[in-house]
Amino acid sequence: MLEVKDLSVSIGNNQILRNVNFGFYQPNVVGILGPNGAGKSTLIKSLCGLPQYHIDGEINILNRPLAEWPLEELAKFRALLPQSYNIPFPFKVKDVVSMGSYPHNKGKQSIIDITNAYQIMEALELLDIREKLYTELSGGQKQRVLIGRVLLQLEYQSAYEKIVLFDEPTSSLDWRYQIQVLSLARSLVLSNCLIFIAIHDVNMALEYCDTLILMKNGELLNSFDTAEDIPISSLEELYEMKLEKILLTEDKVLIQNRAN
Amino acid sequence: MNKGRFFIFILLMTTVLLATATLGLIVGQYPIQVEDLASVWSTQNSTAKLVILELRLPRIICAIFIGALLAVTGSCMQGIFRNPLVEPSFIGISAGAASAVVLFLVVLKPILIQYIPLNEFVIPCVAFVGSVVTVKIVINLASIQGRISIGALLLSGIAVNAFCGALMGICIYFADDAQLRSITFWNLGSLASISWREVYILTPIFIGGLLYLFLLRFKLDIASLGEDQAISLGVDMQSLTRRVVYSTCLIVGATVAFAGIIGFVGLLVPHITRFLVGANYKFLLIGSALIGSIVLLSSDIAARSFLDGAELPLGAITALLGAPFFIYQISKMRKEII
Repeated sequence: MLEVKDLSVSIGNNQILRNVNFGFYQPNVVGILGPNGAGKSTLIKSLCGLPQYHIDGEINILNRPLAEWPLEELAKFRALLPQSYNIPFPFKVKDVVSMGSYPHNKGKQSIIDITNAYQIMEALELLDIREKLYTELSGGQKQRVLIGRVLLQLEYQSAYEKIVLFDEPTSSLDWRYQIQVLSLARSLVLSNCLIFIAIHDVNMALEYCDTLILMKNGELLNSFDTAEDIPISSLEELYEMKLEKILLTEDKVLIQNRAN
Repeated sequence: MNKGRFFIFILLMTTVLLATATLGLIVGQYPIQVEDLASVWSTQNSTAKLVILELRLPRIICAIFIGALLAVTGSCMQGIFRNPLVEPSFIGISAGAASAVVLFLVVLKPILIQYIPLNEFVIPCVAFVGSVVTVKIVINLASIQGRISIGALLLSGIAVNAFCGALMGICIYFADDAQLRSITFWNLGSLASISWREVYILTPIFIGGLLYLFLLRFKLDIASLGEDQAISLGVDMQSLTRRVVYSTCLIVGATVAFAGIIGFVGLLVPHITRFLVGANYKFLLIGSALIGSIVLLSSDIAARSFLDGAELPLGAITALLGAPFFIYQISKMRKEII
């Protein structure tokens, strides 16, 4: 579905990613872990094909180079949730969520589009605030509205497998909504979706992701297929701190700071 | 805003616009009674008929056209730059058009007129070229690694506006009396020289410009989300920016060619309209067009009826309305920062 070969990315003279290689060929939840400045957001944005980056190497989506895909075609099966969620104008919550259907209806909304939007707002508990102005919401509410927008974009039938890129989707959310959003993200696997999540919470990542990519200083250190696989030493190297792994149940572990 | 409420809004604004237009027909240096309006058409009373048909009516139509165009281009520019503090005159479009026209009139026209006949379309074309050149400079200056920084955009706008002002200042030094009057006119804006000829030229720009920008309404909504999300939703932001900026150059260039620099309409009106009908461009563009017409038409009526025997510059009146609003916006931003 998505293949990255020798990817190096720079902005101006500043090289941010170096020789990143990976490939995913099945629906999967891929967590991207790494300290601040590791290049997680840059990786996500370059997979989206944003123009401000200078890209060397190859990004192939469904066996076709990213640059050769027409934007409008890509938008039907590939969505991005960026880290910043500022919108300067007073749109209503339901209008922002409905923008997710734009790639499929070019702005002319049918009853089906509106029903889809309402179902997603219901799943994200946004129905009560649907008439509110986006500019007046809290940070966490704004983030959930934009997640709704992304989910709506992927709600439609697609000729291709879908790809979604979440850049820290839970950064402003309380614990309950973190669980809600990550569970919703996970459920996208069922609709043939490859999901990338850049995330800071290691334990959440272990719980909700199938595969983990560890990134540091613009390079991909390692990738692991299951939470049990991941050696504590890799995480210690990644975050430069002492950690310990506690086995909670047979398939559930907890990583925590090792005091002294 | 739902469709029913928006329909009521349109009805209300159209009524206000028609009432303002009627007021525009009767007030001025030569007052006409309302009850005489109907009879003017049938009678041969030459002065009243001349005043209404040849002076006030074209001027009112142009005020409606220009007000709508400036407000709609302002809304669109704010959308693509994602900032409610942007308007065409701030980023050098108007000053570029005006200085190109002034340079043309003072330097080039006296030379060219000996060799080629110049018709009425030359000035709008010159204005368009001037605005495109300045806007290219401003956008290049403001682009940092392919992204337009809003702070750099406004600063480059100030720099280019200052340069264009200086060019016009030099032209003032070399200009004769008639040219001097026209330079003042372009600097401060006025609808005093409008006749049916200007209405005919502005009509296709009014209809074409508004329709073209209205076609971009959904893309402009998406653009408000920011470049990252717009691209992920399949909207090519670079192409959208080019389309909006160049059509704005053409539209504002034409309005500057006939009415001079009229600032702040493109800043003030979109804000009022967003407050009334919301941020959706489908409603915002139509609402801005109506409110922009009302604002410019009433400003023009004020400009020509405050003083006895003289006219206030129209650009000064719109700046008087718009500048306090700009200050209010800045103070609001300060509060948000603190």
